[in-house]
Amino acid sequence: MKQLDHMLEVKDMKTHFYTEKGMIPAVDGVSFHVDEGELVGIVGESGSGKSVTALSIMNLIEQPGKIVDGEILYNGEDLLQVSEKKMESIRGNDISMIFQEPLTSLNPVLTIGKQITEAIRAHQKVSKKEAKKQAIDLLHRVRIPRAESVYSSYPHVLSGGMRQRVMIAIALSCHPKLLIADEPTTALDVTIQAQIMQLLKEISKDIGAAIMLITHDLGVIAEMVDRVIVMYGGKIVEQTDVHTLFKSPEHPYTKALIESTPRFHTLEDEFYSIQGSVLQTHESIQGCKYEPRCPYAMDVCKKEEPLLEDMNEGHKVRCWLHDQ
Amino acid sequence: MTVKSEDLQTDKNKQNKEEVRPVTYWLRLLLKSKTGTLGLIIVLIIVCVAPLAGIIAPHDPTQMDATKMLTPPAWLEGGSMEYILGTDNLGRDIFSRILYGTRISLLVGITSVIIAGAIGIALGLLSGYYGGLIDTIIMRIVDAFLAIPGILITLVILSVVGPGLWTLIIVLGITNWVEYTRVVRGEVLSVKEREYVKAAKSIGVSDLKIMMKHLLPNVASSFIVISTLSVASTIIAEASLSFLGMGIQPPTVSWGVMLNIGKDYLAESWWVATFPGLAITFTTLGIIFLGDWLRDILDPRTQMNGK
Repeated sequence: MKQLDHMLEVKDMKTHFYTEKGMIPAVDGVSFHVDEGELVGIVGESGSGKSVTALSIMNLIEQPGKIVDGEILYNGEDLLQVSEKKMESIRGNDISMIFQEPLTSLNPVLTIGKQITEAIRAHQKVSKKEAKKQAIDLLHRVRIPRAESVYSSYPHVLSGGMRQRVMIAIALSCHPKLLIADEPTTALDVTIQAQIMQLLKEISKDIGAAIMLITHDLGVIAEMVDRVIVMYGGKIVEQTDVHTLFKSPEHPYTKALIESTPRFHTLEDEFYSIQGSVLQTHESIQGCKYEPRCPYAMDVCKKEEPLLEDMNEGHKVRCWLHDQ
Repeated sequence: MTVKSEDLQTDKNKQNKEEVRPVTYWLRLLLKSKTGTLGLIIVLIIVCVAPLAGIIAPHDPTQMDATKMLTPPAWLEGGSMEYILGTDNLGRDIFSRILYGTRISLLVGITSVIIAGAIGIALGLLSGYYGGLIDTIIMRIVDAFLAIPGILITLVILSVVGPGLWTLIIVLGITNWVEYTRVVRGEVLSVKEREYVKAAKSIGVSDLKIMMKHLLPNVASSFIVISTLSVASTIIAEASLSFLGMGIQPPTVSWGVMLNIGKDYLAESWWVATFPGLAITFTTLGIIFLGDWLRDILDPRTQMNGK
C-alpha cells in the first residue's frame, strides 16, 4: 500500500468498551483513509460506531472505553503512539472536531470571544489583541452578523445555528488539515442545516481542510461528500464513491438505509423501516452482524462473517451475497 | 457569577437585561429577601468597623484603669456614657474591645477560609478531573480528616506547636479544606462530562487550562456559598479556641479571649462575657443569612421553588 499518500489512514482500529455487563466492541476493526482536501462521509444508524470512530481518531476515548488495537496514521505518524503533549498540539491544529450538540458544546459561563481566543492561543503564540482580531475575523467568516457584539456575549443569547457557526469558527481557527464533523446539524432545523453544511463546505475548501462528515442523513451525504463509508455494528459494511452508493448499493444494509429515506413523490402512508435494531449485546455474533435483520440472510451468514472485499475500483462490500 | 445567574434566569429578564446593570439586578434580588438584607447589613457593618476601629473606638482597647474596674453598662446604675457597654476586670472599655475584636475575627475567618479553599479546590479539581488512583488517594485522605473531629486535630496541633495568631489561621486552614474538596470533586465529576469540555479538548486545550477556565467557573457558585458559611464557622472556631486558651493570646484583643475573661465574673458582672458573646452571635448570624441568600440565588433549584 502507498500509505504515505494518504493524509489520514486508520488501520484495523478496535475500540472496545469494558462495562459491567462485559466487553462491547463499539468499533471492531475499522480501516479507511482520508486524503488531503477530501470530503468523506460516514453513515450508519445510532450505535453503529460512527462517533466512537471519530473520538478514537482524536484520541478522546474515555473510560471505560479503550482503543485496543490498530493504527491511526496521520501523515505517516501513529497517533496512538505519540505523547499526550504532542496529541494536544495535533488536536485543533491538525485535526479538529465539531460536535453534535451546539447547545452544550459551548461553555455557558465563558464569552464566545474567550472560547475562540482560547483555541487560537492554544496553538499560536499571539498577543491577546491579535487573537481578538483573528477571532472577530473568524466570526465574520462564518457569517455571524454583528461579530463584535457576539464576541463579547455569552452562548445563551445565541440560537442553535449561530452557536454551531461559532463551533465551526473555533474548529477552523487554526486551519486544521482535517475536520471531523460529528452530526453537526442533527440538533438544528432543516433550513439552518443546509446553510451550515454549505458553510462547512465552503470554508474547508478555502483553507484546504479535508472533512470527515459523520451523519445518519443520507440526504446530507448525497450533497456533501465524495466518498462514503457505511458502518454497521462497529464495522465497515460498504465503502464507495457517493454516486455508486446511490446508483448501485450492494450491501443489504445500505439498500435498506436508502430505502428508508422518506421520499416526496411516494404517496404511501408508511415509511419503510429496517426491522429490529442495532446489536447492543456484548455477546459476539459469529456470523454477519446484520444477519438477524437482513431479508436476504442465508445459512452461511449465520456461521461466518464475510470479509470487506473489493468489488471493483474501490467499491468495497462486506456481504456473502456479493461473494457468489 | 453574574453570568451564571443570568444564564439561569434567561427567560425572566430577557427583555430588561440590556438596561439593567448587574449590580442593580443583584440589589433588587437581595432586597426581596429580608434575611438576606439583614445579613448583608450586618456583614457590611462589620467589614466597615474592622478597619475603622481605631477611629470609632472611644478608648484604647488595652488601656487599663484600676479605678474603673467592672463598671456596668451605661443604662445600669453606676454606669457612665464614657463606657457604654461597661468595663472588664482590668477596667478596659468593652465596647472598644469589641470593635477591635472584629479585626481578629475577620482576619482569622477570611484568611483561613482562603487557605482552606485553595487547598480544597486544587485537590478537588485534581481528584474529580483525573479520577483513578489520584482520586482514591485524595478521597481517602478526606475520609480520614472527616473521621476525626476538626476541633480535636486543631487542639492537638496547637498544643504541640504552641498557640499564636498565624499558627491558628494556618491550622484552621489545613483542617477545613476537606469540605471544599468533596463539593468541588462532585461538581467536577458532572461538569467534566459535558460536551464543551470534550470540545475544548478537541481543539487542543491543555488539561490545566480546562481545569482553570472551564471547570473552575462552574464550581464558583458552590465555593462562594460554602466559603461564606465557613467564614462564620471559622469565627466560632477561633472564639472557642481562644476561649479555651489555645487560640489568640492576650493582650491581642479577640472575642474569644474576652469570653474567657468574662466567664470568671459571670455571676456579678454579666456584661463582661455577654457583649462579646452577642458580637459573635450577630456576626455569625449575619454571615449565615448572607450565605443562605447567596445559595438561594446561585442555585437554580431553590430559586424556582422559592419564588
